Amino acid sequence: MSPTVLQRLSGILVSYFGVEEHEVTPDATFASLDLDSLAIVEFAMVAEKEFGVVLGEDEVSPRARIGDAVAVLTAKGAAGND
Amino acid sequence: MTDTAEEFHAAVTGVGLVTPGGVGVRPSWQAILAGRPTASRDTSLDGMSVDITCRIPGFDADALLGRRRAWRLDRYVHLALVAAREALTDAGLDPAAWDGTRVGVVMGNALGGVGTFTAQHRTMLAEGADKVSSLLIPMMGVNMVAGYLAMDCGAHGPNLVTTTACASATTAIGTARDLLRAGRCDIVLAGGAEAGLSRPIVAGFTRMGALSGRVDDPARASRPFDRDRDGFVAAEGAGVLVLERPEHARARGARVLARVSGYGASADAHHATAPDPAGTAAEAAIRAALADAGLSASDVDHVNAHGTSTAAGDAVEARVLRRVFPRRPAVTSVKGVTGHPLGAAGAIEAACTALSISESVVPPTANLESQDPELDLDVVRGGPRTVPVAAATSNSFGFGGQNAVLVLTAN
Repeated sequence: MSPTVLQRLSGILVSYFGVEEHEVTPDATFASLDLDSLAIVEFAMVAEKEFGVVLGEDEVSPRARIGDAVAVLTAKGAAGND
Repeated sequence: MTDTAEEFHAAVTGVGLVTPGGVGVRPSWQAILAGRPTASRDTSLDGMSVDITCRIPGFDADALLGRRRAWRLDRYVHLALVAAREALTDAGLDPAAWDGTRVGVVMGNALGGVGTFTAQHRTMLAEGADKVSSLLIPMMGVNMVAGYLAMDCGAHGPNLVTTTACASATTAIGTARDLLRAGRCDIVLAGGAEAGLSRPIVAGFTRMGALSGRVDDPARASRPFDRDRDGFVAAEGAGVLVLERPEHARARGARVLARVSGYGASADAHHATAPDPAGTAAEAAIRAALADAGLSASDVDHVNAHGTSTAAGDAVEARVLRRVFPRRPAVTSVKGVTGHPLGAAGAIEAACTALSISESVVPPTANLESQDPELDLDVVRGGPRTVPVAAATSNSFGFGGQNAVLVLTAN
């Protein structure tokens, strides 16, 4: 079974940004994981490589929740078994 | 003697070191006391004519600082943070309990985050400008080390980086002392950090002819004051000293390792990289530091020399020391062990000078096998010398002719 979008996104946050896996829940905001406006730009770049999906500035922000990002990625065609 | 009202002896209450000798004051100091050279082949420089450096062994920023913190900082800031935390612990200070508005940070640095810059430049050439990291600017800024140290411990006082090439950290400590004397701070974290061992930087130093070409025998390459010296070995590292106003240190019952009692600075105004052979300005900086401390040259029993192992630099420094100090103080250069960590050098050496004072021991100059007969100095060699040190200078002479000298004294 291939990983879900949430699992793949979690993998990025853990390996690139040093977040603990258990912290990555749909309700957590990026800011609560120490991803500020600078880190979000970096996150969008890594996510584009991982998912082949471009995230606009209005689509992901420090205030956004992980669940929001999963929804946007999924709507844009990111692969996963969600 | 200067007017005693002008004398101000800042207390050194804590030190932190990250050097090619090890992570922490104790491993660094042990390597330096043992005269154990750290230069070795550097595989990141494969294919270059000079491929030896002094790197910090076993420095794992993710483990020491947490990956969540470390990923967005350049290595030079990693080194500084680890040294600063050690210095604060050593000083017995709890940032949660202090008045942060009275705490300053003054750090020396020469090259900024050049490792980050060169990596991002490669990314831009390979993948395009829109793949450059949003963290590039805050990672590479020369000023950022002081900013990040302040964020780490809640220091809201004056915050700056001094950049005078190889003298940067000595300038930082002198500037910190001035801030304390002016009453602008009660505590200043002062020191320097450098992590510039990227290929273009080492290539640039190589092209200048500044580096030792003893690539087949790296352990013997950095040999200050030796007849066969042929250049320095580039290094990385960081050092931080906690300096306090004397009454602040006294009020909290802090242990005082030594005091920063004098600071002098000058410019050769001579050449981009070569020291003025007359050494006039270097001498003036030493004499200014002594006058600032209210001491005479005959009071000094130890000199922690700049001694980079270059032919010209060591010769000029030796001549100047011979002229200034009638009592032939015990001279050493720790760069035989550490190599030359550029903007961090002055902090590492000031910390060593404070330890020499507090522990009454002067480390040997590594690799001093046959002292240059032109250099008429009492250079400590072979092993550490046990000797009471009441007053010492820590010298730094930077490219651009920027000279900075500290006088440290016993408590």
